[in-house]
Amino acid sequence: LIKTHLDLFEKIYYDNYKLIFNVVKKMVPNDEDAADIVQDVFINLYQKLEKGSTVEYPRSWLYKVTVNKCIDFGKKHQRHEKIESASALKYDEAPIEINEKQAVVRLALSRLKNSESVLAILYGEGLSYKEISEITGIKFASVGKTLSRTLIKLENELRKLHYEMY
Amino acid sequence: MKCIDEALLQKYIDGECSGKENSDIENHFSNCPECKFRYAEKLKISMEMKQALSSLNSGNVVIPKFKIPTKHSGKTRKLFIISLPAACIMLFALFLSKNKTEFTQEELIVVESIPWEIDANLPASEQDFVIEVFDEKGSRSEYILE
Repeated sequence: LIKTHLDLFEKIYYDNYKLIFNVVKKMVPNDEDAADIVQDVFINLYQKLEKGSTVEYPRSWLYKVTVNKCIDFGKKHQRHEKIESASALKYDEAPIEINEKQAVVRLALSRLKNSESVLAILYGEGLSYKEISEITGIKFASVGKTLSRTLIKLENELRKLHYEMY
Repeated sequence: MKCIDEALLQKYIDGECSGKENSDIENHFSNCPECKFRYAEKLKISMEMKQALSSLNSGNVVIPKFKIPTKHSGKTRKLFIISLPAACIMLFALFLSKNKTEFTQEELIVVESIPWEIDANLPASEQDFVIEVFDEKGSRSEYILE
């Protein structure tokens, strides 16, 4: 029994690691912090499976836990983040042009409410409305409306930032 | 059909409409250039935002090997953190007590008792001062100031 749980876990881990990492990276720019959060998410899953609980939709479950952990992290490091976003350009190892573009997107996301940026990120991952509704708790029937507004808001913020910068 | 609202347009773009909704919308587009224009605008925003978000993806994510959490790793560590200073204190106490058995007196304990009044105007030699000294074996010697 233990072995099957472990096999199941390993499959979920290798199938979803990149996916989850990229979601975290959108909310937590630092690679090390992001990796820590992802590890934490999977430890939660491991412990759940170890106890013998079943996870019906592992991917949705992972997204849900990930999103919550990222929001918690954001709250803890809020003061931090504000300073970093101003100097976000020095942050990653990638070439400057890519970095600058990423920094702008991150800044635009940070200007939205938490729930809105989460929605936008999940949409960007190509999730269905049903999955989005399960993860965020937005009513299935309202996903289209909320999404439409959020995307317009994000686009506005991006445009404003482009205007400010160039 | 009346004009298509924002939510339905978004659903249409994201492929979340039913077959009937899809055909209704497409029919409406053929009669309503305004809605078709709104659709094109919304589609553009949706695509651009998806693209902007995916620009944050790291191309080369290395999957680390999962470290299986050991059940008591946290507890044993805590225990170690507590027991280490405790052991140090005990060792120190042992060291002290061992020293005590080979104790040699290095300091002088002075107990004063003055049972009469002193005339502070007289020199010390004219006062009746007696100094009693007890050594470690308890024998007493007396010294009289002259």
